[in-house]
Amino acid sequence: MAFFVALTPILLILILMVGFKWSASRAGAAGYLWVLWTAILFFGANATLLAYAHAKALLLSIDVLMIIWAAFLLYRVTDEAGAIKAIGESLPHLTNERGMQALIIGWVFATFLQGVGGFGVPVAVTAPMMVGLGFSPLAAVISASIGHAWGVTFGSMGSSFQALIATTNLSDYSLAPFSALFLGIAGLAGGFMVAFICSGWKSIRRLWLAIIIIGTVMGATHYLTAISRLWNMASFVAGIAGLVMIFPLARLFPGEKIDNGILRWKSLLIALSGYLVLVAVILLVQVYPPMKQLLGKIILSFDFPEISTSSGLLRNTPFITPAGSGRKISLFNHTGMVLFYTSVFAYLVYRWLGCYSPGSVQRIISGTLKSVLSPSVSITSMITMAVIMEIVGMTDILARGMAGSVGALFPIISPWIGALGAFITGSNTNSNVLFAGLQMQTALLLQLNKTIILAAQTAGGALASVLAPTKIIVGASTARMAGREGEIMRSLVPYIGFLILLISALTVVFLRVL
Amino acid sequence: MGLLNRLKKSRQLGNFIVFILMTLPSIGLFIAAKAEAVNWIWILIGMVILGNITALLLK
Repeated sequence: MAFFVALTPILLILILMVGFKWSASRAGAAGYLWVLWTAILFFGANATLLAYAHAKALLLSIDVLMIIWAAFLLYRVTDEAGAIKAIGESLPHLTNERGMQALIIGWVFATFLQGVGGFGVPVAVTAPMMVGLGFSPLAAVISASIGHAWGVTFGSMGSSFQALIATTNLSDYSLAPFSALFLGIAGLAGGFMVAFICSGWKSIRRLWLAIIIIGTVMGATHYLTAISRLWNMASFVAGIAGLVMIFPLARLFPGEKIDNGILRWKSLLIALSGYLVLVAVILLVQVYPPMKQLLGKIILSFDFPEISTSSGLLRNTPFITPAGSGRKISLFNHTGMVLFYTSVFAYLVYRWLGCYSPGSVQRIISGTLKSVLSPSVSITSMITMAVIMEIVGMTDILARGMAGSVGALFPIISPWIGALGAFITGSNTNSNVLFAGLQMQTALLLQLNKTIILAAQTAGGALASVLAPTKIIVGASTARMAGREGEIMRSLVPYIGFLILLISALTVVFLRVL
Repeated sequence: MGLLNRLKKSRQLGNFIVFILMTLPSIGLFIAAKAEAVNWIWILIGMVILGNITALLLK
């Protein structure tokens, strides 16, 4: 009975979003209200407990939202300067080989865009580009979706990974290796899928070595960047590495000799200047010790006392959360602030280069606000819901129930839980907020390596996030497939399902080996 | 209902108000919890509930 009642908030969100097609912000609000009521009635939540739960949730929300807000701002700064468009327009000129074009745009460039933007941008930008090159709209949308999926966790400047860190209280140092490894392998598989979708087996026979080279370079760069504590730019750097690799490889596969226009190097370099600013700022703030020390002086932190539940209909003994500090936020060298500094400097650079038209500041700010408010509402309500569930012991009940019923199968199921969370909520970030705590507790009860299980959670969430109805709608509309979202989803499911099975296999193998 | 309609029309304003109601009271909740001011806790939680109800009604 307690297990079922503890499960109801998650079931409610599932039913509202999938069955009634509610938005994440609306379903999150409903989930919060439901959790509040069940926590008070069934699990002994009292006023003091709820007060501390809200305060803890606020800290976690700030931690995640700072990155999201700043990532949106940076994207708007570069997009307003025409940088994204300029980079995208340059790429098709590299080769006429169809499979190679699909890999460049639907895989490598999509990964780069996920690194710097995310939030549906990769498909929205690359799908119409591929349609313009003559690929079918369906092939364009599904290849772009699959091509960027592996970059989601460490993309959008690492917002999903930040959520994983925040909700599990584990260090990035411990979480990054397996997460990056699983996603890198999925990324390589995704490259083969993109080539197959756009040009069939013929393309794979011709380009398999190029795919392995690009995939290995991107995956290795992604991994090394993530484990070097620069995880907020892992997908971005991987995308850059892929773009750099493309230049020599494209010459090996030029395709038919037709006039494909010329590559405008000057426009490309101007467009990339904002991202050079990003690399410089991140290296200065997060790697250069004196600056890191200077900016790390002001930390937002609160001490929470031991928190205990009272009696409830389903609780006779108190559930106790030990005393400790909540999420600590280093205000001036937080990843979100780093992105904010980058946005300001990138804006100044692009302005100096003459990339902006009058009214650009207003458009950047209004565009950012328009984009961030709705996700902010959904993330805040879901984080608060997850924190209340944790503090009253609902997550613990779910974890024990799962450990007891699923047991040895849990490693196989783990990525599917992350996938379910991303599908329901529309984002890897929200999936990590909802389920990372549960996955970690279950792993501890089953005496499994929690970093491997959490890697499975975030990898499953990243891959399945492309199936989220909102992202499919965005892709469909930009590729002139509005109304055919069902067709896109049906086409995507086998590929994403295979990739998640791959993660299940990796989870089982690494748990046995280590 | 005039205010709700206005918030529905200006989605950004509505989301902004919802976000403020969901987050700012949490600062007061921490202080109220430390002071064991139970009445204030329920008032502030009521504001958060209001924010979430508004989020439900807006779309």
